[in-house]
Amino acid sequence: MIQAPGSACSPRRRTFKLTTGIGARTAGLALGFLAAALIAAEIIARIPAVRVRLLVPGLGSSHRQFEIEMARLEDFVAEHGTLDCVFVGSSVVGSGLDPEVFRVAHAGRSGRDIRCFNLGIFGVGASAEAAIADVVRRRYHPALLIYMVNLMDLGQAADRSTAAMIASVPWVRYQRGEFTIAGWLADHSAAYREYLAYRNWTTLTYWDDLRDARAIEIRTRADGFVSAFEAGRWTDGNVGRAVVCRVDALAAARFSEAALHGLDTICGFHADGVRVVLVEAPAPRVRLTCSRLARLHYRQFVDLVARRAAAAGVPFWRTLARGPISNEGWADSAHLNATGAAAFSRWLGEKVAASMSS
Amino acid sequence: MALISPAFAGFVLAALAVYYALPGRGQQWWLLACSYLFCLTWGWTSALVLVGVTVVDFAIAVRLRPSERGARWLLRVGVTCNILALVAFRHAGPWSAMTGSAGPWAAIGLSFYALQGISYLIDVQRGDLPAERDPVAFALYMAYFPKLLAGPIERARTFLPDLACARDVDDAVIARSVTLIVIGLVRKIVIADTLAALIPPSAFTTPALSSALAVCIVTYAFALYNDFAGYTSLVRGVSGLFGIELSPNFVTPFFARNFTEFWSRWHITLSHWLRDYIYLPLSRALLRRNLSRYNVANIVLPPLVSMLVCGAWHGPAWNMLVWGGLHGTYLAGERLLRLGRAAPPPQQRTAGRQAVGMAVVFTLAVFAAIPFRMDLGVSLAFLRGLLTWRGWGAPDPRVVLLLAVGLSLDWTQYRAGDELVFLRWSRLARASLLAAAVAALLLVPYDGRTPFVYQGF
Repeated sequence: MIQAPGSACSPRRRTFKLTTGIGARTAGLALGFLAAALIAAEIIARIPAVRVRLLVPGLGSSHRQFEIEMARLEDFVAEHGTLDCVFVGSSVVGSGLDPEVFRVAHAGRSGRDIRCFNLGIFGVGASAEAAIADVVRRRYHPALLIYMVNLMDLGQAADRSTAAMIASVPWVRYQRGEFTIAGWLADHSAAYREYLAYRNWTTLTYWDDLRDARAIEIRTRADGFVSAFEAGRWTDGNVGRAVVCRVDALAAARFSEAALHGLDTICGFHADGVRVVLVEAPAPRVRLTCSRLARLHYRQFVDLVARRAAAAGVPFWRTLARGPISNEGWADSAHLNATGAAAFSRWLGEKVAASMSS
Repeated sequence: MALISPAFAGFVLAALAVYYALPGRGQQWWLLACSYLFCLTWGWTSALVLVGVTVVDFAIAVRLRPSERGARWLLRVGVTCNILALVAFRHAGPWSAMTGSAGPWAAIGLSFYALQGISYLIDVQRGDLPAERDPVAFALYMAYFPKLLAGPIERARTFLPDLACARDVDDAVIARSVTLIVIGLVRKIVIADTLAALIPPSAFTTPALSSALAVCIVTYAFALYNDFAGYTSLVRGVSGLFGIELSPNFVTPFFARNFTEFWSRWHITLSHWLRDYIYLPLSRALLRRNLSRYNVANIVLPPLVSMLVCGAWHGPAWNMLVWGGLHGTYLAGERLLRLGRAAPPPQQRTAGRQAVGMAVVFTLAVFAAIPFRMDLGVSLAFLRGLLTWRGWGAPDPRVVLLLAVGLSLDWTQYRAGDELVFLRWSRLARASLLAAAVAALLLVPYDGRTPFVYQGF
């Protein structure tokens, strides 16, 4: 026993002497209880009736919409068996490309059914998009990858803020060939994924975050399309024009090297047997009326993407010059509404079908 | 090096492995080396100030002869040196006020070991304790790493003799130590940090814009208590693994039935220090002038002055003095109320009266926590907010859950009168509780970025 303070000393001898190991037996029993609890949690988390009542599983990122999209993709592949094609990009893709309309348009033109998933992730830049596309390529082997690139994807601000949020997630690193325990757990344990979904329960904003996550879950369809916007909200007035032109000027003035590397990475998948198509994200017609400098910046962006796509042997399809979207198809200065998404998806579905048949 | 970190765990395990293999004298050298290594991880200033204070106190103490005429002057010099170091280098001292941050002048743990140095010098001067002739033992008394950051404030008259004794670490000691460590981790990570995170920051900066202020301050009081009690439990557990027992600092203070009892349960080593070196000497001096039990000065001044010093020790700020003044007033008021009538000790009162006493003490202690947490201007705005309906919103269910967990832990210890009551449970119950504690620790995300509150004092 520890000497009581101030008590008489006994002669010094060996300090450490374990005898009965009572603590070890208790600890062993506790470990057993923990193991039993973990196994029970794992079994419960895999029961479908329980799963539907829980949050969409987490992956350890701080980007909840990304996790919801990945969960939807997992279910999508489980249901259909294969993934024919995937749309990657930012929220511009998420609410701008409707896989169902795309499928119908494609089938109408080619007579072949094609199952696509929309993996548009809100707010991400090209670095994060490359990481996401790489995960999808390794995990689901899609035949076609359509990357809808917009100017903001290559800007420093969007890229820097989200690259770490996605690319450094242990699960993403694990999927890309780097072993991490957390990544392995997130890949193999349903209970751990549920823990990740609820792990922020101690934060002040938890209830608000939970409500937002639920709202995104509801808005995200089984094919990944996010029906985020009402039709015809945005008006093509002076304010909208100012926003578009300023965004162009700012983003193009500071292209991110990391984002350009992300763009090259996506193009590079072409060499690995995935058919990659770059598509210029549609933009409001007002873009054509921006200042000369803003138009110059936008021109630089288009030339840059075209050059890099050509170097990798990847087609780059312009949309702005053709102007497939009328002013009624915009939800705001960057995102299509349901009307615009339908028009654009139809156009792209037919174009992909025509391209494949040729 | 943060106490709750893989680095500290590795540091302790490495220190233990060598420690167990060494003979007695070697163990002290080794512990001293480890303590200074730990101190160095907090910066060179911390180590240099620690060396300086240690050398000064050691040198003065060996020259102190209780019977000699100059001893009092030497003691004053020694005490002044400690206080000057405290003023100049403490974490929240004037340097930080001038520089706007803790900065390179901050010396970790100074507030605690400076009090140890002062108590040592006074004890030696009084003749209660012979001056320590072994510099290694004395340096270890000042620097011993488990208590360096925030105490407990140990006394040389108990700590130094213990160092000379054989230290046995057997199954029972390990069980006690590990239990203390687990309790400490649960209090800090699961209860304190989570509760603190659930308080809107605006509540203590712009209370006029916040709601449920009463819930916020109660939550803060529990977070503060569990933070410091968790720290103490953790370091006592770590120290126990070295066979050295540190003093407890908390004994379920929120179940105290009067303020005298509260201060024998809250930050015990500090309150005992204040009692022995401020309260009792002042009371003796006042009684020398007037021996009457109705000597109002003796009733009011010792608790008031002691608690004002306690407030100043927490920080040279008006709000801390108000906090200390409030507690001093509570203690003095309690003594005045007892004047002229024989009151039974709290434990002999009816259960109802005990409960009322607990409720009153808890309410007043939480009220005093307002200036403890906020400067005076914000405190007043906070009080104004409490006088409106907006100040009395319902608590978040998570706060209720965590308060229930914390109170259950306290109640179990309080009922048994033993903080390690769990060791007397059946093995099945012990194992279940340990598994639940580990599961709770795993379920609460811990980023390691929230330091113990009292590290800042």
